[in-house]
Amino acid sequence: MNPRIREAGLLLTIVALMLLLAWRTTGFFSAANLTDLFLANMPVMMIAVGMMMVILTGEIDISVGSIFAISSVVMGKCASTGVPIWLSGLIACAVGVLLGALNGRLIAYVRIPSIVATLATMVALRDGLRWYTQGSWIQGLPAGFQWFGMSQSGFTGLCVVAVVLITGLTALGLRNLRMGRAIVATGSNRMAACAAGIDARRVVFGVFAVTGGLAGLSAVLNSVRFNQIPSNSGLGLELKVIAAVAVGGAAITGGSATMTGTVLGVILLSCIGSALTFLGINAYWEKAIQGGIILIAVAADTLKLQRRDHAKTLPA
Amino acid sequence: MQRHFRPKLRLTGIQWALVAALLLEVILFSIESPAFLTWVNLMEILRFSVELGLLAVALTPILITGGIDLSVGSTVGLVAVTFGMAWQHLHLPLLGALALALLVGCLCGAVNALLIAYLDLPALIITLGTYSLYRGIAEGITRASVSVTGYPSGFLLLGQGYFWSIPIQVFVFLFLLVFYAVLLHRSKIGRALYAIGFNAEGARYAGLPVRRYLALIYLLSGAVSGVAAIVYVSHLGLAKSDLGTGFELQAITAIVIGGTSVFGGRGNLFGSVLGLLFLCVLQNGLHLLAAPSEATGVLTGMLLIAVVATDLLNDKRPALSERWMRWKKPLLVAAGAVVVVLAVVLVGLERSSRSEAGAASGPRRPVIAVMPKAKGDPYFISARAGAEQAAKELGVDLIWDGPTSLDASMQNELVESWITRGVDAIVVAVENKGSISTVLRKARQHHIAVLTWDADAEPDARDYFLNQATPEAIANTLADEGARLLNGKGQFAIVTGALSAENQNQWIAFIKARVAERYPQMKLATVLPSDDDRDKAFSQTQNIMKVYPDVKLVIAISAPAVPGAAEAVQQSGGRVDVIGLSLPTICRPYIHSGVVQTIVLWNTRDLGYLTVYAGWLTSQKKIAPNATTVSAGRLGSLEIKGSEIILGRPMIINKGNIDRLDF
Amino acid sequence: MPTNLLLRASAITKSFAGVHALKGVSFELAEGEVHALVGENGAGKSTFTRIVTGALKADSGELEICGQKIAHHSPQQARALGVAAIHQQPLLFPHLTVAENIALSLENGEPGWSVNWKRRYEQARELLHRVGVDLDPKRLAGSLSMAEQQIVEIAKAIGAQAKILLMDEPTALLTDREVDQLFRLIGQFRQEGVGMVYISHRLEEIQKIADRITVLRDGRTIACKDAADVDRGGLIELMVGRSLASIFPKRDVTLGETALEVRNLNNPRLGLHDISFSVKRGEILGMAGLVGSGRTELARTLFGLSSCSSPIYLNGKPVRIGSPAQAIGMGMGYLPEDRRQHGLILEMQLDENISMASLNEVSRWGMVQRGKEARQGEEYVRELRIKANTASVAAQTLSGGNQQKVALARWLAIHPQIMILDEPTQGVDVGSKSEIHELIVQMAERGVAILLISSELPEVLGMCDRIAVFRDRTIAGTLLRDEATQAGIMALAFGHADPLLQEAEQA
Ligand SMILES: Nc1ncnc2c1ncn2[C@@H]1O[C@H](COP(=O)(O)OP(=O)(O)OP(=O)(O)O)[C@@H](O)[C@H]1O
Ligand SMILES: [Mg+2]
Repeated sequence: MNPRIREAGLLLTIVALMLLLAWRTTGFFSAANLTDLFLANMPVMMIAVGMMMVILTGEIDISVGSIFAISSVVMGKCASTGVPIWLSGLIACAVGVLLGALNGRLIAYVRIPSIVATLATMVALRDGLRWYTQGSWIQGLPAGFQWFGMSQSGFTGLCVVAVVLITGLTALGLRNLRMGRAIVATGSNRMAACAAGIDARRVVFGVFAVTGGLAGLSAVLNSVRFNQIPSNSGLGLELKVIAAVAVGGAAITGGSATMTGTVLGVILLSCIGSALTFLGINAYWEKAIQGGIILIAVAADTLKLQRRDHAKTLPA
Repeated sequence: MQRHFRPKLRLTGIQWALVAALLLEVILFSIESPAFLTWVNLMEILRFSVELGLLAVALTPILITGGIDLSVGSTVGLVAVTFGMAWQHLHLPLLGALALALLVGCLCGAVNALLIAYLDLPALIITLGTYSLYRGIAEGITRASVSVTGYPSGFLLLGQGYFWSIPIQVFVFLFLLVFYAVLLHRSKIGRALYAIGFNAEGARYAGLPVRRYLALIYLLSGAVSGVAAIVYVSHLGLAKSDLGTGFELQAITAIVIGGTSVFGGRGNLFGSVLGLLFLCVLQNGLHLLAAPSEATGVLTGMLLIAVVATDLLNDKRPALSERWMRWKKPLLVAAGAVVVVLAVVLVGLERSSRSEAGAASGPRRPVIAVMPKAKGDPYFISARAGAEQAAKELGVDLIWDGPTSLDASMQNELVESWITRGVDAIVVAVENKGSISTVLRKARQHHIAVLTWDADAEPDARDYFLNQATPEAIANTLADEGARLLNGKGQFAIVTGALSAENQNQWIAFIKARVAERYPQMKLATVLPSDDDRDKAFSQTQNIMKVYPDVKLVIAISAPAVPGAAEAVQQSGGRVDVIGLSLPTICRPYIHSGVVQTIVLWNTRDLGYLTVYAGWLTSQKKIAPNATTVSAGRLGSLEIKGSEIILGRPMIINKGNIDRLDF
Repeated sequence: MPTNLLLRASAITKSFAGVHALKGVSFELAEGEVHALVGENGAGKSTFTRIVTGALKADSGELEICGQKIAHHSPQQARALGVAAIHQQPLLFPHLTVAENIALSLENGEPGWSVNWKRRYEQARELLHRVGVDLDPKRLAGSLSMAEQQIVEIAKAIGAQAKILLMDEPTALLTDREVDQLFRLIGQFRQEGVGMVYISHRLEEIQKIADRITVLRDGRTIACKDAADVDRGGLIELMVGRSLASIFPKRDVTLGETALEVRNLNNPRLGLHDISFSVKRGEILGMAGLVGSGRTELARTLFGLSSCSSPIYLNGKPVRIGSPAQAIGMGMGYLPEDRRQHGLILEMQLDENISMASLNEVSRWGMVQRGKEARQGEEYVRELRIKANTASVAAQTLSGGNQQKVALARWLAIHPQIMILDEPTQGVDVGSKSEIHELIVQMAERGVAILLISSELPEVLGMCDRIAVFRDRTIAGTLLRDEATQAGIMALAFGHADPLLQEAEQA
């Protein structure tokens, strides 16, 4: 029941990894590397915020990778046909919101189980995009496209601000806004939420739309790091995001997830890959070690077992 | 009390919808394609559903308890390579290897069981962890590149043979299906599993051994994945670390579409089997109609929603419920019909737009089916342009289809459906020679001209191999270019595609050999995978530059990896050269800016052109048995060496010539 | 006759997929009145309250609240009209704190975006104080015991400042102290002119506080009388349609050997310490105490639900019980307190629920014999007079009291040697209650050793040979049947003579 234990376990794993890196490698903690690491994992972090809310309500969204790809392509198509870049960005975000809202509609109002609905949209959107682009990349982007025409460091700053704002505001909102509490309440007990006058359907619809929007936004920020846009980006993104959120301690049955846990989960999973390269470990073993570390990070949960009886019946 | 003796198989709404949709699929596909409703084809469908079916069957009880097992696909991979390695490298007898492999499967299941059932850890995360762990171990012990082939024919019978003209593995599947059906729907254990799914705590209070039963089904799921792996190895004739990738998601799709709830308690095996058949028949039918494989995805997605939504109409209209109950089945059937009609219209449109050009021009146009390794790959996209040009020139119908990403078994499946459809020539870019050769031989027996391109199959499985440039030639060219840039000494790194991609692994091997032989002062610092993802290649290159400051050259050998690596170098402002194997269009900016020195490539346009042209020539028997040259349309006269048609040396593309190339 | 009508319902009907739950209920509630609604299990009481609160829609009939005709009713609308309810089944958010659970149902519709945590905690503390319970508002609702959940529900309803307050068995799990406090609150509301509907199967309570009593039977209003005009016997006859001979059918049984004994049992995880007692075959040992005094915790420990190092002596032999399965294997049964979470699998059928702890008996070679199982189910449904069409309906479609009977049937089916009953008659109507009591006595006569945990003192006093009184997670003292009185038990439970109770007894 207590998410702090998972967070402590995660933190411990991360610290252990960091110590190992500090001891065995040079350069991992250089500003340049941290910046690169941050930028590469920015989409995962942003979408994880949305995914955490989706999981909080007891649902799941596996279509984020496809939405990410579509938004990237939309962004590129718009920009390459002369639409101002900021407007293309907005359009791409809007497309993200729209696709998220489609998911939300199917799940909240048509009442299709979220795993089926988003599985369907994941496959359909991804293959639809493939059909449309026939795999070709988008090129011929205008000069001011890369980094929104800013300097590289200026753009990085912008991204940092965006990520901090999104995670921070969401964390605060989940704790202190009526809306945020409604999300938690919906996931905790859907029937009780309805009885308490919370419009659970709107809540579910909302979190899917927001998640779509975040996928769109991260696609925009990610695509302007380059000067051409591949049409198959974001493959497997959903799994990375869900893994991060789940490792961060979110219960898939809903009602329990923390932002701290999610951020730690994203940090752990996004560091592993590059850490292994820095440690000089052969790439063939990368997946095995990654899996092992996930298992170790959740092992702290076994402590929970010891306490559960206690919490259920003893007054605090 | 008569009614209690009736078997308790009540179809739920969604299952009625599935039955209806399945029936309609069958009816419409058999109208559209005469080859569909034949015994051979139906058996082929079954054969291809067995591996997935085994996993779906094993996963159903797990989902019913409210758990999940994402590691089954990876377990398939691990068991397959254990089996292959034990047989070939440890020289164990086949049965010994089999036992060892199944043991490994059980072990995989046991780890999940221990962590989930006895340590009470959440199934999703644990199996996400083992999903990565098992695949990682499989890649680690094979270095991702070993692929074990050459099994004795007795063993291959299991996956490729027939008994009473029913594929043998279907019996394995039926056996396990019955076993699971009894376990889940008849036994005490099954009853307990449902109780656990609804309310695990309540089941514990009722004295049910919750942990033991949970452990049992996770353990069984590992064991069944092991069986699936063996069947799969025998079916493909090869064992490799990437077998079974993505199976977990497909199996779960089949299960949830069959009405099993991921929250536990609801669902049954029959639904999973229905869901599986629904998906497999859809896929097979669309292949037979030669609908592009993207259409399969789009349609699957739409149908998934349509079927589930049809079921939900059920409780949405309580006012209508009485009338609805009476009309339920016909209405469901009608809804299913609408959906499938929609599907067929879509496919029909696609087909008619394709064949419009020459529909009127005479009796029957030859059909040339060309398969790339992966449809989305930029090489193959540019090859397709050439192929279409040739098809137009020759007035033949072109089917251009392939897996959307690298997938050996999908290639087999497509070739099967082309055989059933009766095309004139099949031209395949072989992903894995061990696995596809059997089915290609079968195509030849059906008097279909079989050619290979990009990579070869077993020589006796095809008529000609279109040799655009051997892996060795490409690797040598790359190594020589690299040596030229490094002046023959210094460190370099390779960014490859997926670690288990066969082509890339060959190139890496030849590059290593060439360097060792000719340029002893050059040293390969590391090989990192990019998974054919531009962004990942970008990050990997950034890491290379930081971790190996002495690396002065990056060889990127996957099309999206070259621009990724180049962008990383460009952004860091470092002085690292990038060369590789990619397409001119996506590398042009970097070649102009001087980050990328050279890319090596065969002329993909010409290659695409040749696939169709040579396919047509062969199918029309226009190549004399021992000809040494052949005239191939705009490519002029090409040399034939043995059974290989030689296209020429790899092109070296650099600042000087890139602007003349448009692919 | 009351002057100002708050609620008027006439000819309300409601059916669920073929089950006619209400077949024409008429009901009136006036300002400042406590109107009791009584009836057997499955008579339709809860269904009626749920219609008034807007959780269900009536099929036909008229509903008027505060003079307003109601056509399309929703929970929000009901709340806006001043209707609040304590539901029979607590409906809480397990992941949220007590304070938030209370606040979410009260703040609805208030303007503003943000949450005022300080106010929430203060409000919760105040409400809980008014209910007379010292419950930390920062605790997660998922960690509350059943009785504590019930208290949170009461606090929610009290805070709503309703004009109409519906209370569906609010006291089913509460001990006398909390009940008294609740009655004091009800008195206060009566002064303020709140109309209250009070549903309970504890007839003493009804006679104590009700002004009027409406009796439902089989979904119909049978009678509506002034409380002063009916006595207990008459009420029972109205409800059940026959009179009941004795209330507590306790008979003396010759006691056998000691069946279960514990010496100095400690379970630090659940806070239990130094518990020693023994039960003989045929003996009924009562367990009394306040909410949270450790009775349920002891039951869980004995049944292997919480591992514990102290040995337990079964028939004189020390054993260690690590899981419920083991406990059942040794002939022990445990009817848990929380029937929705633990006692039943609500989504499964009655016969499946009943056979769940004794699957071996209805199966051969590991295969469940459906026919045998169904027959067994039907048998118990008949025997315990469970109100259900067949044994193949889902348990969740039954009324609360009938669910309780199904939960009990499961343990009857294992033919236990030792039976632990945790609030066995919660929510059960008088008729069935004496049937259950009869079953308990019969079990004792067959030589089963019985531990009876109950918050209803008359039940403990009437049924048990000895009574162990719990305080602070240990046994404070054991009283023999003859020497036990309500006051004596309460004195032990509080550790001192309870001032409230003395006051009450003097009055
Ligand atoms: N969701 C449902 N589906 C089917 N039948 C139901 C449902 N809810 C209630 N019923 C039936 O309606 C009848 C009345 O139930 P209700 O809960 O109102 O009884 P009650 O008077 O509150 O009984 P108790 O004293 O046991 O709580 C019962 O026979 C019950 O089986
Ligand atoms: Mg009731």
